[in-house]
Amino acid sequence: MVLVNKAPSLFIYVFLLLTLVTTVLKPVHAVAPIHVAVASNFLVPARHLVNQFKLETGYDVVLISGASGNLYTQMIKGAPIDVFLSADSKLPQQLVKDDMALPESLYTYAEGQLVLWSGNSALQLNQHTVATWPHRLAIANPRFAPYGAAALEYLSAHDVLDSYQHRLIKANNVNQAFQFIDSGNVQLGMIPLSLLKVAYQKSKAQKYLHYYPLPNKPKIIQQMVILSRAQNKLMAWKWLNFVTSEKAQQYLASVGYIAQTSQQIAQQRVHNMQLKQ
Amino acid sequence: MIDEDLTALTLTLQLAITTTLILLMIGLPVAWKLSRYHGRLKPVYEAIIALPLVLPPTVLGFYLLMAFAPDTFFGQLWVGLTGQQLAFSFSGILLGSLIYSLPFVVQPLYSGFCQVGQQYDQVAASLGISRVRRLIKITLPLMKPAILSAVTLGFAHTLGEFGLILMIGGNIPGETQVVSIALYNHVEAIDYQHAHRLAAVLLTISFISLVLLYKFNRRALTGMTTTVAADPTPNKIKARGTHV
Repeated sequence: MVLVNKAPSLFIYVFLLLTLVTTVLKPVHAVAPIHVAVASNFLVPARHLVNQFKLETGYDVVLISGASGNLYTQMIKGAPIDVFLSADSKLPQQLVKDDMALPESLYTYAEGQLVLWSGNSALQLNQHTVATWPHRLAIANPRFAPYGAAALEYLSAHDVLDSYQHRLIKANNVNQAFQFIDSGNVQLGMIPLSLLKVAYQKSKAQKYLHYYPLPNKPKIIQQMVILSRAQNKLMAWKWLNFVTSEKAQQYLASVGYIAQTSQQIAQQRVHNMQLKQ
Repeated sequence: MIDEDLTALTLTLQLAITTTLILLMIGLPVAWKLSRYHGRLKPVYEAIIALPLVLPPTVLGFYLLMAFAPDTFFGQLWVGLTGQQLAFSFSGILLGSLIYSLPFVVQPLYSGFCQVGQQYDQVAASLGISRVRRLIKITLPLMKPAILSAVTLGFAHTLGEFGLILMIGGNIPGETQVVSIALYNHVEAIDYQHAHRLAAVLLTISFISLVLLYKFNRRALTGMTTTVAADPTPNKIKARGTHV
C-alpha cells in the first residue's frame, strides 16, 4: 500500500523538477525561431534558403506555407508570423497599407518566369503553339495567382483569349496547374519555370526540360516584408538581408527565378532608407 | 450575388441531387442484399462501403486524378465510350461524389433494412402477395425514415464537397466549379463580401436539411452508426427480424 502511494508522488516530484529545470534553462539555450510565412509555390526554395541561413547564422526559421491569400487572412487575424515571403507584390504592399508591416522592409526578392510547358515531348513549343492549340490549357487562377494573371495577359495580348474561354483549366495555384499537366490530364499549360527546375532536380526526367519561356508581362514581382508585431526584429532583418544576399540570389537564379542584381537590391535599400527618414 | 456564384450554386444543387438519386438507386439493392447476407466476407463488404467515410477526400481525389489521366486504361476507356475526358468534367465530379457520398446513403438504408426485418415480408408472402407489391406496400413504407435519412445525408454531404473537387475539378464555371470552391476562391482573392454571402447560403441550406431530417426522423444520425436501433419510434412496431 505504502509503495503504491509513494510511487506517484515521486513521479510527480521528478516531473515538476524536470519542468522547472527545462523552463529555467530554455531561454538561455535556445532563441525562439522566427516564423516566416511563405507562398506554397516558393516552399521548396525557401526550405533550401532556411537551411543555408541556419548554417551561416545558427538561427532557426519556422516556415509556414499556404496560399498567399489565406496567409494574408491569417496575418491580419493575428497569426504569429514575423516575415511574409509572398508570391506577389500586392499582398505585402497591402500589409504595409494596413499598418501591419514595416514599410522600410518591403523588398523584391525574386521575379518569376512564366513558361509554356507540355508533358508531351512530340508537341512543338514556340510562339505559335498557343494560337493553334485546340485543346485545354492549364493556368493558375488569374483572380489571385500572379502567374495566372500573366498567363491571361499573354492570351489576350495574342488575341486568343476568347477562343480559350471554355478551355482554360484554372487551377487553385501554380502547383496544381503543374500537377494537372504532370499527371497527363492536360497536355499544355503555363506555369512558373521554377516548378520545372525543382521537378527536374528531383527526378531528372527529360519532360521537365521541354518548355518555352514566355514574356513576363506584367512582371511577376515577388516581395517580402517584416510584420510590425515581429517579436525578434533583429533576426527578421538578418533573414531579410540573407534572402537578398548575392549567394541567395544566385541560388534563386539556379532554380528558375530572375534574380535581383546587387545594384537592384542596393537601389531598393536606398529607397527604403529614404522611406524611413 | 454575382452570376458566377449563382452558376456555382445551381451546379452544386444539380450535383447533390443527381448524386443522391443515383446513390439511392444503387444503395437500396446493395443495402438490402447486405442486410440479408451473413457470410464470412460481410466485414469486408461493410468496410468497402464505409471506406469513403474515413478516407480523406484528397486521397480519393488524388487516386481519381491519376485514374482519369488519358493515358491510363480507365481514362482511355472513358474517352472511348463518351468521347469526353473525365477530369474537369461534370461526369468526373459526379463519379467522385458517388464514391465520396456512398456510405452516407448506404449506411442509413442498411440500418433501415435491419430494423424493418423480414417478418412482415414473410407474413405477406405467405398470404400470396407478389414480391413487387410487397416491396411497394410493405417494405418501402416501413423504410421511409431510413430513406429520408439517406437522402438528406447524401444531399448535404455532397453539397459541402471540397477536397475531392479541388483535386479533380479544374474550377470551370458551370461544369466543375461548385459552391465550396467558389467560396474558397473568394477567400483566396480576399473578397470577403462574396465569401460571406456564399458561406451563409451553404450554412442555411445545410441547416434546413438537418432540421427537416430531424423533424421527420428522430433517430436520423444515430441510425447511421448503430446497425440495430435500441429505441424505435413509438408508433412503429418493434422489428425483431434480423439481428446482426
